[in-house]
Amino acid sequence: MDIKHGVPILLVIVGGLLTAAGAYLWHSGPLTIDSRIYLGAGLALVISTIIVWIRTGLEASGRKRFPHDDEFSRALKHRAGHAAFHMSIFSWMAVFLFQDVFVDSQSMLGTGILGMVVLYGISFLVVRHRAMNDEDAN
Amino acid sequence: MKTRIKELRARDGLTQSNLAIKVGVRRETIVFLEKGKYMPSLKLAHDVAAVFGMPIEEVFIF
Repeated sequence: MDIKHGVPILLVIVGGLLTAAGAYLWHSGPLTIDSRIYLGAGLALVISTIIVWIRTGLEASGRKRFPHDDEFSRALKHRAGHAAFHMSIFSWMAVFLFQDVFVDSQSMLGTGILGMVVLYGISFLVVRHRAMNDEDAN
Repeated sequence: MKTRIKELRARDGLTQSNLAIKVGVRRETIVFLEKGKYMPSLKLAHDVAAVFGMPIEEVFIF
């Protein structure tokens, strides 16, 4: 295994260890700042490493000749963003209506922000799927 | 909208990837263009038509 391929594996292992440490601290007691930091840093490291790894692999396979972004992908993003924005407004309304469910305002805001991210992801997939199947999508 | 991109590509021996690289877009965009499911900008339509050496109206049928 050469260094180039070893680095991502090492980062994933370190990220996994940090995540495990955070999960252990969380399991062994109440969720403290330390365990949150371990969990967050570990997960961020694992996810970002995997993303960079995949992207680098794609570029290495010759796809770098294509732009990452063009007018069609931008149009899809705009449409998805437009739909997600409208849905987010209603999701925030729902979050505030059911604010008693959340233990504190941090978890409420966290849920709302995470919900926005999920809504955007779903919107993008739906818009892309419709563009593929709907003659009038564009 | 209909296009003659697929036919013209075959005539010139171009793959979707070749054409995408020539006009500076992703291959996915060419796929959608060929299916007539994406209305291109004037610049992209011009660039695609220029690759085939034809006027826009002979490549894209509105």
